[in-house]
Amino acid sequence: MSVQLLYIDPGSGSMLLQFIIGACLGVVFFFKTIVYRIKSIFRKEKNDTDTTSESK
Amino acid sequence: MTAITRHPASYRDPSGFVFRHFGDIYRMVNISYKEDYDLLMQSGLYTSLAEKKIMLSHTDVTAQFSLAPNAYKVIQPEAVPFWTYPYEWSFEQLKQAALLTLQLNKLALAQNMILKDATAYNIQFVAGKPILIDSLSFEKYTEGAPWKAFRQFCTHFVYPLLLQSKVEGLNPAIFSQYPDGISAKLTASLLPKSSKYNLNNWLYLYLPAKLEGKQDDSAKQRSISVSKTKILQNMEQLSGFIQKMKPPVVHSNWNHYYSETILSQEYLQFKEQTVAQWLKEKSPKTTVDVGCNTGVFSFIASQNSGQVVSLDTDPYSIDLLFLMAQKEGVKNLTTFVGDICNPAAAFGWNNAEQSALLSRLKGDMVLSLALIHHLALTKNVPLEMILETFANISTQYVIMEFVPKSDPRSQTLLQNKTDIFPSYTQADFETVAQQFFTIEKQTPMQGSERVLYLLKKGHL
Repeated sequence: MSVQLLYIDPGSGSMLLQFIIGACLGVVFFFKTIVYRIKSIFRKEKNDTDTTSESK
Repeated sequence: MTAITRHPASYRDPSGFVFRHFGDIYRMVNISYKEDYDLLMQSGLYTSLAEKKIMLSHTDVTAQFSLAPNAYKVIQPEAVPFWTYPYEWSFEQLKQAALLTLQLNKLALAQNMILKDATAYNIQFVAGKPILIDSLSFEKYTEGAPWKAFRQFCTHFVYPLLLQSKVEGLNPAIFSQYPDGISAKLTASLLPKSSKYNLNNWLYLYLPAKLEGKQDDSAKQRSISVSKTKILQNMEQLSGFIQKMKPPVVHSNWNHYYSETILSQEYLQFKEQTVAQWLKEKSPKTTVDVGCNTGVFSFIASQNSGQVVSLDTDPYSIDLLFLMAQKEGVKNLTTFVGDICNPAAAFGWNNAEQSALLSRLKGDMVLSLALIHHLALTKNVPLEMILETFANISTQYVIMEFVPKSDPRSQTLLQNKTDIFPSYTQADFETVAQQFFTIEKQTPMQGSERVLYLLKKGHL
């Protein structure tokens, strides 16, 4: 069976774009954290088990 | 260094290249990549990725070669049983490949490395799961530098996924025409207007579409710095975005085939038992299931042969089969979207970067179940041509189901067509089959007028 490998140069990395996305996400994550903290206050009262946001 | 041939698809990366040496596949690591390669191996990143089976493992075989001055190492990667390309993957396959790429980048960043490229062509499917095959994809992470491969990730994964999730019935084969990925602008123009009102779509598609084409390397921009936290946040957002994507809800003709259109339970049971028994007798190394649908017979084959390769034209059936195989823990099944009537061509430079489907599709057992009437009566392919193609795919056996014209399914296919198939009878089938095969076994199928054949290549 023939093996094919391919590699593509990513070229320019769209720096400006990543900068803007970074700034927008800064705001998004700021509010997400607040919402998460508020939620976790209520969650802890009901349930003591650890609910990390990692396990989606 | 004699008798090494550079692989025709391996010319883009200055870090090294893939070559053949006495039929085996190796990868050369150039001296220019030494620092990154050493970091990959010494940081423990390679070991952890290879142990998780999310990166192809390799063996250092430098000692077997006398190296040129610009060469650093020679490594031999573990073999991939069956090669498929991104334009042959179903939605769920591409989605998992995308999420894997993000996971790899996250794990790399924890070891102070980063993916320097994020092409879908660096992923293959092994044991039913996506895996990184390019050992030279990582480089040392520089504080403040943005993720170089970000745009490539979008054009290779995010946009094809978005298109497939929004445009019903899109065949992934169209992406073969965009080997460098599909642009934000083109994607944006193809999506329904309602897609605009979504934060992720705006951030990752409409904003880049607006910026696309503007010079990206001005001195001002080069001074822009993006922190590691920002890169990680970006990847977390992307990962959530992709996880939420779903294929369009399609009731395709095929993915409810067994529950709705099968002739009878008696017929299906008999067919399952007979196919299982014949497969057990021959215990093939590789079974190719052409027109596998949601893979009832691919699963049976997976228990009775080394590897199974399953293809169907319907991407939604392949989605179901792919996910079901993962759920059941089937490790020897490779699925992909492929059309035997219009097999993927050889693409890329010199027609040599991605090989044509029929040059890859080989097995010592080939299944053609409830397929022949579609080829002969819908597509008008003459029996000689059908059997010749199957004789080319198979190195030994073919299990072929003959569906006569009188069969209710054939009747459905013929209802809006004049019967231009005077030579589509069981007797004709047997005569033609014997031009290429010996009929080893045949059995009429209970509950139908169909006949199942076990054909062996060549003549007695």
